[in-house]
Amino acid sequence: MATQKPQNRQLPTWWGEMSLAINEARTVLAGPLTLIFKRFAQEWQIDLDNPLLQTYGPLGRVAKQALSVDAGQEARVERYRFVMQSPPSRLMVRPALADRAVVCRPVSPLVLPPQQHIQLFLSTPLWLQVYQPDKAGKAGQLLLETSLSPNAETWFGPDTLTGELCYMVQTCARLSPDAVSAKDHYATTPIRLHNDGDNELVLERLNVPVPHLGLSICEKGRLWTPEVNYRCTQDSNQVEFKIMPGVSALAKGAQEMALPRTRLRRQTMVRAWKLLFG
Amino acid sequence: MDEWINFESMWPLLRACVLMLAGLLAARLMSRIASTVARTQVKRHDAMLVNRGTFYVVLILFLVMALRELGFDLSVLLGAAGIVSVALGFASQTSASNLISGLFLLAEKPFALGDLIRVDQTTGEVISLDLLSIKLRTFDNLFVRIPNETLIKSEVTTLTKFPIRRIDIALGVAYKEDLPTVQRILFELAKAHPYCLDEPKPLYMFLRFGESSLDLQFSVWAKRESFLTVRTTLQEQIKAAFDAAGIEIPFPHRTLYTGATTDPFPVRQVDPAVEAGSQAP
Repeated sequence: MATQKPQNRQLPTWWGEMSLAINEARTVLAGPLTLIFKRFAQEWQIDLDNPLLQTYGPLGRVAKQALSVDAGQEARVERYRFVMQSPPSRLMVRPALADRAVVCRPVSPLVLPPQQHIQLFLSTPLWLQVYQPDKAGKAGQLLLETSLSPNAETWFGPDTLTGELCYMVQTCARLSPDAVSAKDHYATTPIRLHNDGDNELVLERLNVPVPHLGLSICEKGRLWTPEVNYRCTQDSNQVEFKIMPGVSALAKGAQEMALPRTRLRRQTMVRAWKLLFG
Repeated sequence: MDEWINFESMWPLLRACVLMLAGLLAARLMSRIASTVARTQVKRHDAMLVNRGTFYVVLILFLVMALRELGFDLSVLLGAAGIVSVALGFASQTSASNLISGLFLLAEKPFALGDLIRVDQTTGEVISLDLLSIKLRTFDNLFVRIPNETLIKSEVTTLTKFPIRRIDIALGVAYKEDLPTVQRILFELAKAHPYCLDEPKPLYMFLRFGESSLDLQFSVWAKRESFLTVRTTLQEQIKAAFDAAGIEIPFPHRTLYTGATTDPFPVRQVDPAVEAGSQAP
């Protein structure tokens, strides 16, 4: 039986303001991705080291390094140059949830008997956004957006005509938030499953609508999304799903980090079973 | 005096011409405004339809005004329109057929502006949908005009209708190979490929006992934007993986048999060293 270590340590963070003097550079490690920010008289350069060829580095370590215009320019590095008449002295680096729904596939299927409910904790991958600050000092123009880790893709729906393109992650579907491994490039989503039907609910895949979820950071530096409730009713073809307003109660001292990419018109939606559980 | 009379008779014609000219300008302006507004609300294809519709409606309004200036009775004109359309129909059957086919295409919407379509042997991006024809830009940057009637009559494949596509890879392995191992390697490659979709699952099929090989088909699914990348890279990876595992992709084989009643082909084994020595000057 696998032991579940409590995750009480403070996670270092890779997001925040990137303030550099001219001809200065800084390296940021965000999960498996390495970013090198450089500021010149009329441009900002951002180098992304390809995560496919990168081993996992220390989480969130930020270190200054000596500047060279061509430093770090290797074959696997993608370089983005943002040229401006007078570049701002700082950029804003922010985490975001995926731009498409994430399908979580438990390592082994879960079975929820009739008239039972359970809370699961699923991790979904994060994206990194770089903003240019506006005149008020808030996030203005989005300069760059990238996923922090390579994500598998999948089609989710009853057939190849109906459905949507999603990202896919395997999950251990932990039942306790402390059992979820703390990674700085994943956000945790509490899921509450209610089986109000008369049949067993076999969970092989679950569609987590992350573009509709906001992002908050708790005291320990872990990122959380609001809780999502799924209620399977007597009519087994329909599932009611609801995004709970506000921050999850488990995220102590949480502060809002990012708004949802798209807002649902209604908090409670009813969808076909096949469109949420595959 | 004659000049004055001539000018008086020319005056309605002049006004009609000015009206038509103004109509053309107004139609162009209005259609542009309408499509600019529509583009913020609807797709590019529908914005183009709004553009064309506005243009023709405004132009027809000014044409009616110009005809009134020339003294035509519109009720008579409308009455004659039926006869005229029949006459025009006989005179320009092809154009009329294309026109009506164009209307059917607009209603049926088998593809939209910007879609990739294949008509017979031509594949390209739809860059314009007009009353008589559609225009395609092929991958080698050629401009192709296809009459609407042809589209109604022939098979049209829209390559960009659905977000995902299946990539079928036909391959053959030697008869001596272990097929479960081949199958395992193929599935591992698909799983490791970043652009192959997890679902729908890859498909493995044994097709036939071929002349020179065991013929197989391996199909994977990908986003339509990744179609070409997956088709190219996955086949390269299959070749590399088969080479690494010592799996043979055979060349065509031919066995020559002269029949039972004839003598076999005379075969003489030659020592390569002796053969090389005999050919030396």
